[in-house]
Parts: sequence; C-alpha cells; structure tokens
Amino acid sequence: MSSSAKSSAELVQSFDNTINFDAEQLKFVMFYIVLLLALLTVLLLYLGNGPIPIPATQVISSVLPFIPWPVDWQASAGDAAVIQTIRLPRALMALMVGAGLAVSGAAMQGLFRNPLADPGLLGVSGGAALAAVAWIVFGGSIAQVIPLLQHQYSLALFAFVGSAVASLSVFYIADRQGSSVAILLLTGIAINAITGALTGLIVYAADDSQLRSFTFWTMGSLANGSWENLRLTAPVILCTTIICPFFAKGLNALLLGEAEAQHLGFSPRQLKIQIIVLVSLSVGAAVAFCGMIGFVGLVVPHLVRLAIGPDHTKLLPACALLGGSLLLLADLLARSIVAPAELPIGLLTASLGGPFFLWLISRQVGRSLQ
Amino acid sequence: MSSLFSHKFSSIALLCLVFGATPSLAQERVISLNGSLTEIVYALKQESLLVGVDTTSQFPPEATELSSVGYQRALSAEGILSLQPTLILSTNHAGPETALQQINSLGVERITLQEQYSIESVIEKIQDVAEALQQDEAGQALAKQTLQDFKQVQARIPSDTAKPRVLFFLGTGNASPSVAGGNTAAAAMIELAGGDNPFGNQFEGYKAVNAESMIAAAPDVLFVSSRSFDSVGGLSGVLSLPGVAATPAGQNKRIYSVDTLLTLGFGPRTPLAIASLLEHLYPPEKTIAP
Repeated sequence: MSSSAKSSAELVQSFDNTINFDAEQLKFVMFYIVLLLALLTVLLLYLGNGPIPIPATQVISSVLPFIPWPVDWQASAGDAAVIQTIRLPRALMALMVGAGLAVSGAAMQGLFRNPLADPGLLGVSGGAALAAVAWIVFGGSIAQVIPLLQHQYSLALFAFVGSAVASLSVFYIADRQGSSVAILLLTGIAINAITGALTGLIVYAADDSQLRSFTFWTMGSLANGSWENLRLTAPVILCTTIICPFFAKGLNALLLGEAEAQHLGFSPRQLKIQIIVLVSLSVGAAVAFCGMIGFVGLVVPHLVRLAIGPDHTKLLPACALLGGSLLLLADLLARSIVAPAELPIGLLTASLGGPFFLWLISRQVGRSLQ
Repeated sequence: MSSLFSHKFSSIALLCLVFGATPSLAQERVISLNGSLTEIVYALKQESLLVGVDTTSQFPPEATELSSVGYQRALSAEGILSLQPTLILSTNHAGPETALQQINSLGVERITLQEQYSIESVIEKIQDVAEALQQDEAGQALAKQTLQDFKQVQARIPSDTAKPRVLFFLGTGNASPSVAGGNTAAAAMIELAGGDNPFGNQFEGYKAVNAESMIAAAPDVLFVSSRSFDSVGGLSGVLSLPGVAATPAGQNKRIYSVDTLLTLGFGPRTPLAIASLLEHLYPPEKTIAP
C-alpha cells in the first residue's frame, strides 16, 4: 500500500515536471517562431523594396521563377534580373553575415564571461583593417611584383589572412602564458593597439583616394553581396555558424568558471581553441568581404539573453536568426534612405545599436540598484 | 536594354512631346561618375542627357541639383539602375567592382576613362566623352580649343627666369598644414604653371609638414585651398601658421587662395586654372604677353 502511494506521488511529481518542462519549452518554441516570422517578414520587405520599385507579385515570381505564376505576376526581364542578380544574393549575404557576427559575438561573450566581449577583442577586425589598408595603399606595387595578385579578390584575401594572423597570434601568445581568459583579453588589447598603430602608419602614407577607399571600407558595406562572393564566403561563414552551437554545453559550463568547467569534463583550453578558430574564420570572412560592421555581434546576444536567458544551447541559434534579420533590416535602410546613393551599413548598425546599447546599460544599472 | 524599361521610356518621350522638347529616338540617359567628366558633358552642352552624378561633380553648380549616386568608390548597383541609365561615364576610380559587374551584367553601356594629371589626359577625356555622346564634332572643337588655350598659357611662362618655388596647402588642421607632394593634382598644376614644388620629390600625396621643413623648403609662393584659407581667417591666419611668416612667401605676402574645384579638376577649365596660377607666380611685366 505504502509503496503504491509513493509511486503515485512520484508519478504526480514527474507529471508536474513534464508540465513545467513543456511550458518552458513552449516559451522557447514561441520565441523561435516569432524570430522566424520576423526574419521572413524582413526578407520579403527587403526583396520588395529598393530604389527600383517592383510590385510584390513580381518579386515573388522572380524569386521562385520555376513555379508557373499567372501572366500578370511575371516581372519584366530587367526587373527579374534586378531581383535575381542584385537583391537576392545581397539579402542572403546580409542574413549570413548578420547570423555569423551575432553567433560569434555570443560565443565570445560566453568564452570571456564578459558581456562586453566581441570578436574585435581577438584582433580579428584590427588585423583585417591593417591588411586591408596595406593592400589598398601598396597593392598596386605588390601586384606588379606578383601578377597573380592582380585580382578583384586580393583585398578580401589580404583582409582574411590579416584577421587570421592577428587572432591566431593573440591566442598563441596568450596560450604560452597559461590558459587564463584574462591574459587572452589583455593580449587581444595589446595586439589591437599594435595593428591600430601600424594601420595609422600606412594611412599616413596613403594618398587622398586611398584614404577615402579605406575610410569607406571601415564603414562596411554589403555591396559585395553577389552570387560569386556568396559562393566564396558561404562555406566558411555558414559552416562556422552551424558548428558553433555544438559547443554550447561547454560554454554553459564555462559560465561557472574555468575550474568548474574542468570538473564538469570540459577542457577550457580546448574549448578556447575551438571557439577562437571558429570565430576568427567566420568574422574574418565577413570582414574581408563586407568591411567592418559593428554592434551586431555585441547587441544581438544581449537582446536574446534578455528574452530567453543565458543558456547557450538556445541562445546561439536564436542569435543567428535575430542577427540575420537585424542586418537585413539595416541594409534595407542603407540602400533606401539616400537612394540612388547608399549609406555605409556600419554607420547604420552603430548609430542604431549605440543608443540601444546605452538604454540597455542604464536598464541594467537601474536593476542592480534596486 | 531599351526593351528593359521600354514602358518608362515611352512615358518620357510623351513628356518631351508635351513640353515641346525635341524628342529623339536615341535619347540617352547618362550618369557621370566623376567631376571632370560632368564638366565635359556640360561643356559639350549635353547636360540635358544627365540623370545622375557622383559627389565629386560640384561644377557647374547646377550639377549638384541632379540625383546623387554617392561617392564614386562606394556606388550602389540598384541605386544607379533605378535612374534607368543608358550610358555611364566613369573613370578608373569607380567602384566597388561587384557593383560595376552587376551593372554590366544588366547590359548598361559604360565607358571607363583613365584619369591622369596631364593636359593629354584632359584632351583624351573630352574626345572619349564626346564620342560616347555622339558629339564628335563638338568634341573635336572643344578639344582643339582646350589644347590651344593650354598652349597659349604655357607660352606665357618666361624661360629666362628661375622657376619660383611653390607650395600648395590643401588643409590646415592641427596647425601643421597638409602640403602637396609628388603625384598630386596640385603638384601637376604647379609644374604646368611654371613653378617648382620643393616637396615634389620628397613624398607623395598630401602630408602634414612642420614649421622647420616649411622654412627649409623656402617657398616663394603659397597657394591655399579656398576652404582652408577662409577657415583660418584669410591671409593673417595663414601667416600665423608655424613657419609660414619666416618663408619668402610669408615675408612678401605672396599667399593666395585658390578654388580647388577649378585648380584640381583636370577638365576643360584647366587652361583657365593654369592662367590664374601663372598670374601669381610671375609678376605681369615678366610674363610674355598673350
């Protein structure tokens, strides 16, 4: 009798657990559905709006040309080409880069256990900027010596290699001093100072048009979003963005502290290497083709954490969805506001992200005072 | 391309009819991506064809009222296409490459001209723009006139006197003015006007120069961009920059404000710009009368 009572109590308990579990789960599912709907909405807005006005029906028939649409839905050859060769690849580039930057930002914040961390701390953007300015200023002379480099992708290649060299040297130097995250942070700051100084030195040697090219490069642009460039960047950025969430449990353990993570069976050093390689590949490729796009990697993870908490298994995929949508929205504004010209997208993300971040900080301060 | 936006074209043709303009079947819609090319289009009196210009197109002032497609190195493919151009005039400075390729892939004709700081380059630009606009005759006339004006101005440079030493200040930020070195439009203009730029062989581009180097360079004449000249408060302001007062130019107050659009543009007005620099370099009694 007593055993049966106990088992029924257990049953009730476990039933309660399932209900709780389901309610929690439902919240996440709802959040993901909202994010997906937002992404789809922004994507449709993006494809349907721009300096060239194209009706929504014709946009849909151009994006999915293999479906037999009614005749009056079909776009003229020119309008269809605008959607297919300009807007669609650029939209995909924005989604991918936004997702990559946001996931990298979340992973960095997890790794450093610091809400202010972003991929820039590893020297990724500093190294890319140094290599980019070196190419912009000396590229002409370098290409004369090595004709193979006389190529439209040379700038991107240089920037990518620059970011990789900078981030790997940050890790290598920090790793020799022990695996502490604080050392990694300080090394990153030092490498950033060095790349900043060298960049300044080359900027000093630059002429007017080189200077303007570099200035625009640092403000970021998705104008490089073409099918050819997608083919080059997608393997790197998509793979890293998809792989990152597989390290979510390790990042969760690391939130407790390095020693605690070790006790839970995760090697902090190994995790660090894995995350740093993923982030520097992903952000390096993004910076190489799109220049510097700030604040996406910093703000998006905060936004998601506010909504669903710090669990990385749920945080990282949500960051990908929200980061992609936000960058898509920012680029929609960038190419529409001053049409037929366009605004550098880095200006938009920073000028919209900055005030939002301030609001976030003041909210945090208000909370901790209560 | 004409089939692309044909319905829009017919409405434009209709508008032309309504407003009594002469409608022509081959009505080009031209975008110019460089200030000097815009100037040439105006000099050829073909400005009615222009539908858009870049941000370097500041002369004539009416050009700034046209749609702006932004800075020539940060162009937007869709923005440019939204103006429905049939011809794009660009220089080797236009970019990014991806945007240009997308525009090309949609079949818009684009000509690319090499920009160099020489009178030959100006003549070449005039001829190429005229050819693209099917204004060969007007183009030949303008090219001939420009070359003739140029030769006339050059003939006024006295050959028996030493070349004056000339510096060009582009900006005056931080009290160390940025001075034109070699491979700049300003250096080329100084040379064309019969001057000698002491920094021409020492560095390229515009560099901040300190007081000591300024005195060591011993310029006889200083040209200052009109914006900087005005922002430091005119002649007295330039004289108060470190080192300037101790140079021959400062002592003799041979410091002149120059219009950068005119002087550094390398377009049809270049002979005029050389003439105005020449007046400051050589006293009138020394120049050979035109």
